[in-house]
Amino acid sequence: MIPLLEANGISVRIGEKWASRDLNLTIEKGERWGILGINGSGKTSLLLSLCGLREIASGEIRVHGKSISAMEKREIARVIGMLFQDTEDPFPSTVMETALMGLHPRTGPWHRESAAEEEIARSALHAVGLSGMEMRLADTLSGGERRRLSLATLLVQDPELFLLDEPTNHLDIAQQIRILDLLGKSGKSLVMVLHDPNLAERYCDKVLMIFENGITLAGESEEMLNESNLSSLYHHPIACLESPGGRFFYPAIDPNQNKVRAPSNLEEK
Amino acid sequence: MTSKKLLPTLLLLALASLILSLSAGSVSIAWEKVLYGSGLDYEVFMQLRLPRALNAFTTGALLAMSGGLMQVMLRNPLADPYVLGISGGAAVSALLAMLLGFVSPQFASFLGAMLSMLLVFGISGVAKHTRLLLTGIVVASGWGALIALILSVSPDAQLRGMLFWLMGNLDDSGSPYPGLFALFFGLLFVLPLSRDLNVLGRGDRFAMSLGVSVKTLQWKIYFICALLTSVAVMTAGSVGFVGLIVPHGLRKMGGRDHRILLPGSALLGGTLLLLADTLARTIAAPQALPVGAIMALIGVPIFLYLLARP
Repeated sequence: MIPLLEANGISVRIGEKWASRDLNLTIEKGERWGILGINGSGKTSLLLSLCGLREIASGEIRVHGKSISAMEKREIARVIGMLFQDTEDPFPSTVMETALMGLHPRTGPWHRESAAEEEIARSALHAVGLSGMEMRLADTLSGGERRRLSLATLLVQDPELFLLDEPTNHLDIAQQIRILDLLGKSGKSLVMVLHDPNLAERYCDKVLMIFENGITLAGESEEMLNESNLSSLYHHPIACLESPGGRFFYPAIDPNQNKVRAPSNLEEK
Repeated sequence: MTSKKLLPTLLLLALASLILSLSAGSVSIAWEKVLYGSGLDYEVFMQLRLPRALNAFTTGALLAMSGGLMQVMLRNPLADPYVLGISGGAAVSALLAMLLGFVSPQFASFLGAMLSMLLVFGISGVAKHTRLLLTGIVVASGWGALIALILSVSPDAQLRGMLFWLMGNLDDSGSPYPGLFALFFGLLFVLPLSRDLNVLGRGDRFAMSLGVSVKTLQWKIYFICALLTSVAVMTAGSVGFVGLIVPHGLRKMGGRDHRILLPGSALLGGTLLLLADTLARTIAAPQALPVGAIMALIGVPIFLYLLARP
């Protein structure tokens, strides 16, 4: 069976550094991947390369067996959707107008949105908890609400593979779980850049770790997520707590400094 | 106002302003004689008022459309053809043509506008927005210095004509056909791009992720802006402000979607310049005032009002 996406020996360069070197990756339908790595390791660059938005130094990316470089941009957008860390909004649209932009890859230049399509957008907004905000301008939303609006746009786009660059940014703890539950149960293939290994443990079947200078390690999340790998990845001792609810990873704290205290002048106030 | 009512309202406004402009002037004309198809009134209408009104309308429409396109391409509400140094290039060419007399100022200004855009976009590239805006501002300053030099060495007899050109003038605007063709084909060219432009407003990468060929789209915008602005400058000289305020005002009125914003800009930009020209021709009649100055006088309070609205 032809996989949804294959990266065959891809190398992604960021200036003098490498985000990946000779990386082989196969993403099957319905698989959920997490990408972990320190700041600046090239997680976003790799994600952009996987959907053809960034050039790769070598190797090949195939989507449904077809080279991504031979595909039309709209054709790619019907298969792969991307959630960016940030979007620009100098001329804000309403929440509804923004969500409807997700229809773009499937519609022509003279298309007018139908009532059925507006209903799809309404459902997506409802799923991310933005019901009742359809007519608000996007720049009046909070950071977390804007993040959920971007997700709603992606849900309207309805691609087979979601590339999610830090999907939990700006979201409170409850919203993080709500959104990742929604995505995890969608049956779509997911590749998520995450900073919390616990979310990767809970929501990802497989994990790709990006170490320095493009060295990568990929595998089943159960095997990949352990104290040794995570400590090497983050250059900080990571401990694991086994609990009835599952494993919980946390950064080990120097025993001589149990609690980071507020400066004394603040305490006095 | 809902976006659905916006275009019909603007169309009605445009028609009303056209009727007003055709009726007003230093000489009153009898409509029945115009309809009869001969005589002095008919000649005044056909040779003077109608071409001038159409030129005013198309100039405003072309500049406002260009402004809307530039703003979304650069994702900056300050962008307009004039901020990017295009009018400066046109002005230098037109003034040189007036001074040296080797080619008509209209044709020279067309070439100057095209050359200035090529210069700005050639130096900065279409994809680098901040660099493009800064390059435009710097190039505009350079043109400003050259204009000052040309004016300082020009004979007194030519200075008045030059100053009027710099302030925007429809007295010698010529045939309305170049403007009408540019407006018709411009709309035909940009309307199919409207949905791509809506997406482009949220960033190049966002647009690319939704299947837009951003580089191709940017070159298309550049090409059409160069053409529309050049025709506008050729027709009426240097008229600022329309390209800046009209798209901004329309967004405030609910016309955020480029399927409404672009034709809406054409209608509102045309209406505003038509009204400005009607005032310019009538308030100090028989003397005609520079339309660019009147446009700015009308535009400033409107723009400030729109900015103050929540």
